[in-house]
Amino acid sequence: MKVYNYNQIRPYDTAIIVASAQLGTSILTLPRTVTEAVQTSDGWIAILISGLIMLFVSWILGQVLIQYPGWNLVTISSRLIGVKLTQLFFLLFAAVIMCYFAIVIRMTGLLTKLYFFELTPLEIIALAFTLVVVYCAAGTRIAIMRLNLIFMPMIIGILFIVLLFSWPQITWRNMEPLFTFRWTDLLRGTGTSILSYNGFIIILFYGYLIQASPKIPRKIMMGTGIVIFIYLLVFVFCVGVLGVHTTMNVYVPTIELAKEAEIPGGFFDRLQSIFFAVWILAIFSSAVFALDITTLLLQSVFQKIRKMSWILGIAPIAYLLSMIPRNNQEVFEWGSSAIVVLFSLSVTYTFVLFITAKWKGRRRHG
Amino acid sequence: MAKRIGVWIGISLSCLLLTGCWDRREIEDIGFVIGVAIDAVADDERVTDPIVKDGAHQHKIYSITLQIVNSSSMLAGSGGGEGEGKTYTNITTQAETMTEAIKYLGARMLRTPFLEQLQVVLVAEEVARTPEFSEIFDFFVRYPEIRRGTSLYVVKGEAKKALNAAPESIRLPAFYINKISENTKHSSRLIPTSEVGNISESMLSQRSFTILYIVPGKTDVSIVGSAVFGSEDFRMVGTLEGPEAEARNLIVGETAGGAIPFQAGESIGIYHIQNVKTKITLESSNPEKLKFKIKIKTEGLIHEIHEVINLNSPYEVDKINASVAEEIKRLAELTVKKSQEELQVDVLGLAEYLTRRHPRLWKEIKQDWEKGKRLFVNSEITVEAEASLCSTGVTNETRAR
Repeated sequence: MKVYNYNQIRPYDTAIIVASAQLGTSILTLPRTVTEAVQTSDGWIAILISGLIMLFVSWILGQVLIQYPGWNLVTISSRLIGVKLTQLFFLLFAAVIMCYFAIVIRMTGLLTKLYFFELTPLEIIALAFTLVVVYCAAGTRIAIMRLNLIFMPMIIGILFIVLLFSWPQITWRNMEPLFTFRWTDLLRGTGTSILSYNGFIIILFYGYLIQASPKIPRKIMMGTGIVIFIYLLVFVFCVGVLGVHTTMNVYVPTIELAKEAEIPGGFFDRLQSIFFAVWILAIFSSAVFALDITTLLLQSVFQKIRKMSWILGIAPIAYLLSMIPRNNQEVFEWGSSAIVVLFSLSVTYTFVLFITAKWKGRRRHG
Repeated sequence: MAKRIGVWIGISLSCLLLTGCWDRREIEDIGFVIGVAIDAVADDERVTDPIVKDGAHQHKIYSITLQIVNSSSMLAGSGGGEGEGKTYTNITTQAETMTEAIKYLGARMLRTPFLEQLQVVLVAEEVARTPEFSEIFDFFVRYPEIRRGTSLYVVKGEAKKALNAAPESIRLPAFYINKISENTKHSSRLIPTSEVGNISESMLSQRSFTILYIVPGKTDVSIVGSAVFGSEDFRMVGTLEGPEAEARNLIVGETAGGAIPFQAGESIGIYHIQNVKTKITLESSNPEKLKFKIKIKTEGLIHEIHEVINLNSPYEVDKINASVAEEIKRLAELTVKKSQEELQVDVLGLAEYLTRRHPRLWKEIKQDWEKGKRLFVNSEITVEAEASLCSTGVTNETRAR
């Protein structure tokens, strides 16, 4: 047996962590948002294109990490772009990721209430969720990683069970007509779907935990690859089973898909409850990542304050923020704007680091 | 010390959370709704429900019946002993909306109606023929508990009656209705079921659709064909009964087997369809005069033939094939004619074919298909049929000539 350091993430695990950071609430609504933008069943092209772009971004991210194996991001970033700029970026990230955390809290409450707890007040569901997230984030960082490694097979497993049992209900004709999109629509669809890959940035912050290895860029790309594959599958199934127009209109098409799936024999009748219960794990891990990274960022900017104080400070603020949107439509709207900001910030930061690293690297060698 | 007090306060506060399970439901308190029937209410039959009334009702009122499982008698019955009373209860109220009806009925029977087990929704023809049908249908798509796979039926006469019409051996009529539609699908009538999800997709994509049309008897329910809904305001415009419904399904290619009687010599034979391939081609895409060709290809077998024919002879088999094809063509043409002239609604799946294969043309003519210029009614549709035999049963002839 290969022995490895308990406090480190193996390159292999990196792939899984990248995948689990990206899989979260967005997969539940992705088929709708993409179809809304593209207007035909060609949305999968948009998902594929955005996925390829993200593979490239993942590679770049890997290149940054591989140059400074085991380094803390603050150190890397301060060296590359200066302390002031680093702190600015970190504070921006902290603010946006906290908003993202708030949105995840609200989404969890919203979906759980919509499909399961009709009478339970949303505030209570969200509060319970927040408390569990706080509990998890209060532990050591490496434990969060390990937890994700345990969750991932369950999450993917239940997803495949749902897909397997909805297979008989696919109408392949729903995928036609092929290639009838307008370019502007496709572009919009690509823009929408690329946002569903927004979790990739976390691996940059956790970079110092990864065991040094030349395989890192490849593994990060593998993680993104898994996500692309899952997104494509879910999209095709949603359109195949529900139809284009229904996919466009149903708020959470992926759960409707799970509702449609039928396990023969009639013993397990309501697959969607199991699916959703397990999927909460995926949402939970994105929430834990969000809270943990916000504390990590703030801790590196203001080093005097303890981690626990940060967590206990951020969680209530995020909880209160999550209660601001007045209805579901506003949640979806706010959610997408938070994600747009987070995504563009992530990509900008990654590219800035990559370019300065290349430039400094050349100066060092040359 | 302060820390300890803090811990205690925390624990006591969390107790508040732990006690609150808002969605707790005891199984005895749940009324499992397995069937819903929606009937029209004539003006003089309006009953003022004490809970409903504030005198301001201007909207259409429906009589809504829920079929609810009597869980206690179901349990007693499964023990092998004599069940106490009926296994189900039908309970009716008048209301403008489904939600109201469910609220009133829930209050009346002291149980929370629970719709996740809903099997069938029965709509009276009288309701289906009004544009309000698509309005009340909204509930079945929007309400989270209801599955998109729930089947819908249009009932001739009173829909409520179908919730009572079941053979004695059947414990729950709602399940029974679903079962017969499943059975007929595999035997003779070859009518695909109509589910909430499919209907909603048709409404969203502005296509006409069909729903199974059933007639309740005293102790049973029979499926006689399908009710046709137009795409204009999604109300029922007519029916396709018996052979017309069969032919329609052959054209659309939605068949799971069916029987075509054909002329065999002087007498009759029955051709069981096992496989259908339908190909639609657009022969002229001039919007003013669209030309379609529908080619139906079937494979099947013979289980009964009343004439003595030497089935080993390829010549005779060819003759049977031709005669079956002739019959299929005749039925299909009948259906085409009915849908163009009488119903004036495209039940042949041509709209769907155009969206999938000629999306550009479809975009142009979409608004004038069934309404406006009525291009569907004016288009020319020809039918071709081809039948082949793959089995003729276990024997050649059953009596001497």
